[in-house]
Amino acid sequence: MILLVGEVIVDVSFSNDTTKLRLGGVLHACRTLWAMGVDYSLAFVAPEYLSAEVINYASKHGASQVTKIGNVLGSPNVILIKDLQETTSLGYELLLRDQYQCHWLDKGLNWLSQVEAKDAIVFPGQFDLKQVLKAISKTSMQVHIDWANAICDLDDLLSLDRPITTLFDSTSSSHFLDACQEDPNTLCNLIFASSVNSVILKENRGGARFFSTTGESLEVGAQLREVSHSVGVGDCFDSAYIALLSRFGCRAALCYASWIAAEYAVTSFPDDFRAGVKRCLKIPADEITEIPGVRLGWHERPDIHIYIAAPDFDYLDTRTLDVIFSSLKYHNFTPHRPVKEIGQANGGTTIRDRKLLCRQDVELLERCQLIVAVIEIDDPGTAVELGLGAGLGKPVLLFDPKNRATNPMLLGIPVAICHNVDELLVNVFTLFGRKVSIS
Amino acid sequence: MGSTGSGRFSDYSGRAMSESDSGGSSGRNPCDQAFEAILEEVERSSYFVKNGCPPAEGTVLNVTFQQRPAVATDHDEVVGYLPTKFNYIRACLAEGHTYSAVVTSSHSVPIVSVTVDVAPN
Repeated sequence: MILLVGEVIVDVSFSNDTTKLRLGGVLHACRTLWAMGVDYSLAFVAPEYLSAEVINYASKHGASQVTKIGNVLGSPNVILIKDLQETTSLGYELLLRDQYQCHWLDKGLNWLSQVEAKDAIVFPGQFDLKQVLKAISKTSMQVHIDWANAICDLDDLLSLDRPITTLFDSTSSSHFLDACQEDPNTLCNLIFASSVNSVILKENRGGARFFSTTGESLEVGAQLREVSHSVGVGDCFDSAYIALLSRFGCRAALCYASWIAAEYAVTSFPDDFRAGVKRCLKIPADEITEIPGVRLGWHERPDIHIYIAAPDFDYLDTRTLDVIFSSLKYHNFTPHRPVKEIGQANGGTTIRDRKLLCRQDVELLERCQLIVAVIEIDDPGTAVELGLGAGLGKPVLLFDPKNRATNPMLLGIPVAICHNVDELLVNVFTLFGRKVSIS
Repeated sequence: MGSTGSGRFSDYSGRAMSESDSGGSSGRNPCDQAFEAILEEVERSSYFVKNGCPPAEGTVLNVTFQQRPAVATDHDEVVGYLPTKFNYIRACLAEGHTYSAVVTSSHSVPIVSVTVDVAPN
């Protein structure tokens, strides 16, 4: 049996003129274990208005016991989500977060200190993690923590009277980006000093890495699918891994977790997700550890320079280019907007200077590993750059969300035609990632 | 007042789908969906190695599994592999689904390339 501990959040997303409300936070992990048919209990922190709904939802989705351990005051625990697919930062807006208070329920903490389960997976939110770990110290559970969204310090982990078995983090977390300067080794050194046995660093579309104090390290490829949403996918990965770890061992558990997380990302319909999970679990462990996913580590991506060929002119609407640029940057690639970097010809630009701009653009293009040609209007420069890149043997992706491209050259030269940013990212990761199952 | 989809929490298991896209199931199964794919590793696969050329357009092949999802002849000669984004097909095969793949494009120059349309049987 697994104990899940965490905060309940209401995820509010806006997509295609539809507003969707979904119970999130620790409930992403609940859905995962329900879909896998794994026995679990839930200890949750939430505002009072959510209590009945949480108990009802978790009970209908596999929880054998559901206990509230903390009451949230001052904040509704509602997150507005701007970018469901995490093509750029998810753009979380946690409402009234500065007014958050958590009042612990003695009865709940008491219950927590007596839970009999093999594993506890804790998803810290805004509550004081030390209180939870002090209660769990009285049990004999192995403790695993997803630190990615935690606002606590590593020192808080010492409130547990024994080593943390697994600490999960993510390349999109502030801990990794700021405190560890984006260096996995710094992350591990920091974490292992705080009494943690193993670290799993999730690198979104690029796979994940496992590190252990024994010196063992593993890489697992991501299973790239068309993403419907990225909310809770990391929590899903964590829960699936822990649930399968004792049965299959670390290597297969990481692979299954990668597949199950991909199933979570392709749908927000729980029954579809459960059907997908059941299919994945029918794949034998010795096969799933051989099927390659895509592995492109965080630190490998800055070396991938991407030339965005497009009419990037100051008199046009360039919001699409802004999104593509920020999305590639968010995923740690090095995109280039030549017009912005090198310059734009205008009515007064001499022929000599235009030729200079051309030479400089070509030099930049030659230094890049990928061309992304964006079809917004009929722009001869974009078409030339697309052909030049292909002639130099570089892969070209056509970004054509409005299906404008009809010319055979535009359709025949690119290795893929992308209709949205998620498709673009899948193709970039596929082109430059290594095919890795587990290594 | 006007907004849709925010009147209550969505996605309870077993709940019927409503206009606002909530509910337990979408009614769609990815295993039932056809797709197009450019095969990988065609030149290194057993069909090309044996025949020196890819199969002709219109050739009907099978989707199988050879350490990763692959497209092969009835005699198990692998023509190429499905891109990793179609790995989920292995889970569909595990559930008993079967697929055919029809060659829609086949070239040897400038590079060896085979495109297939895959559909459930």
